[in-house]
Amino acid sequence: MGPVLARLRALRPPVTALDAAALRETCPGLEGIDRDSDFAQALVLDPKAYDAALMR
Amino acid sequence: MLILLLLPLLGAASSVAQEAPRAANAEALPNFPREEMREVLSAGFAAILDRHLERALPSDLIIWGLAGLAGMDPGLRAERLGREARLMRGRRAILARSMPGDSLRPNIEAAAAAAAELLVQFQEASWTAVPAIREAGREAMLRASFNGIFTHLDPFSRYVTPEEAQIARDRRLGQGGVGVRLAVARGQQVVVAAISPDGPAAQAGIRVGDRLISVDDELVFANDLPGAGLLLEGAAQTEVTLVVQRGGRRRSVVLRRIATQVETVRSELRDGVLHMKISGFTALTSAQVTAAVEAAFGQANPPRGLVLDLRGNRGGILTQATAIADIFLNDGEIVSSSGRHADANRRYAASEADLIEGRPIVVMVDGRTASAAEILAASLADRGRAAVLGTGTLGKGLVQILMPLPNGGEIQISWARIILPGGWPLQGAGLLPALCTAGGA
Repeated sequence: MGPVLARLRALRPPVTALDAAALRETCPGLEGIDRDSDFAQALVLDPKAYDAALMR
Repeated sequence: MLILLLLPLLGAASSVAQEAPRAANAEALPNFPREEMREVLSAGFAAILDRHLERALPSDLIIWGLAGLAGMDPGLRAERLGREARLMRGRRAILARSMPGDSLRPNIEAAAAAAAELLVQFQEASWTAVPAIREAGREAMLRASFNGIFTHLDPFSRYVTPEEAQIARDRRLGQGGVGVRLAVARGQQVVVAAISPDGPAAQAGIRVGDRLISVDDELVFANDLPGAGLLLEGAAQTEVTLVVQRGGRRRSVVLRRIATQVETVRSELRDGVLHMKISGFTALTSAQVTAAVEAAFGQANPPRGLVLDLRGNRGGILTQATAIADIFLNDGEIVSSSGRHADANRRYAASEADLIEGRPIVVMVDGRTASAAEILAASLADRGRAAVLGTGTLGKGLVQILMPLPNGGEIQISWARIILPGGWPLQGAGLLPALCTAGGA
């Protein structure tokens, strides 16, 4: 998601519907899943993976 | 005095045939609440002209409001021809009037009053000529006119009737309910957005995400969410029947209302990590988060990190979201808001020490995460203080302000755009997680 997040952070208002849709389709806004919590738990406990997932 | 000065401008001759000259005569229509409508529209228009995020002209408000009014009856339509506004039925005009100028001088209130005066003339004419509009009543006319305007401005501004506003005030005082908060989901469905863990709805097996079909045999609609909420409320210990749908299955449940507030924070320790779910942002949420964090991380053997679950969180009070971000940031900007009105431009900054001293935070979001919840997640992500996991959020990054109206109602106006410290807006694209679990990946 790195390049996508860079594009997201490069947006400036007003954002066109086209730009918004192009970004949104990279990770559609579906309902969360049960395993999200397991993934999150694992991420907290794995410093390298956690650091890689930070948006900076 | 102001209206008298403007009337000559409003009474200009029309070039089309008109149905009934009496429609423009206030004295001939004692049943039409002319003064109340004029005062409410005038105050509402002043608020929109002064504070809405998007600049609108007085003539825009007249034409858009007229279009909303015309939408109340399939035989009506609004027309604009140069500076003339017309309310048409078939090929004939019920009323045609020249619109006042779009100057906001000498002040916004005067321009708003002039525009309101003209729209009231159209309302009065339609009241006289169209039985369906008379039967719908004044609140329906106000709602239709304001909705017609907001359709052109943004999806979140709206008119709040006196009844709805009163319900909101009663709720703050502890009105009885069934322990749910409603929201509009994609597909224009009314869904359960938050639920009190021990409330009547939870005990009956209702869950966040369930679709609400009807309350006491009255269907609920996405375009009247406050009305749906109003149906759920009533005196404590009274019963209410809900029809809810999960997947393809519908069922009817009878709930007994209790005097309760929706709990918005739940936390549990799981294998050395504190998992905290925030289902909404009420006036007490940040205090509840602080208490839970201090209780867990103040121990001799604190958790190794925090999982913040904002999935399904539709938002709430903005300052509660920024206060929660402040709990986990030492300093610097949390978020800023930007709008046309000077007061809409604000910068929210962290001022307290990070209560969990830099330990890892993972925020879970999904497509139902909206508004203040997105702001909290995006702020922590943008500052590099949390990793975000889940699916793309809703993308509601506009802030609304509530303005009181003379009839006891309110007008909710989008007046600011949320901007993250990195300069990007939430509105539209929303927040994308670094780790996307869409499709179960």
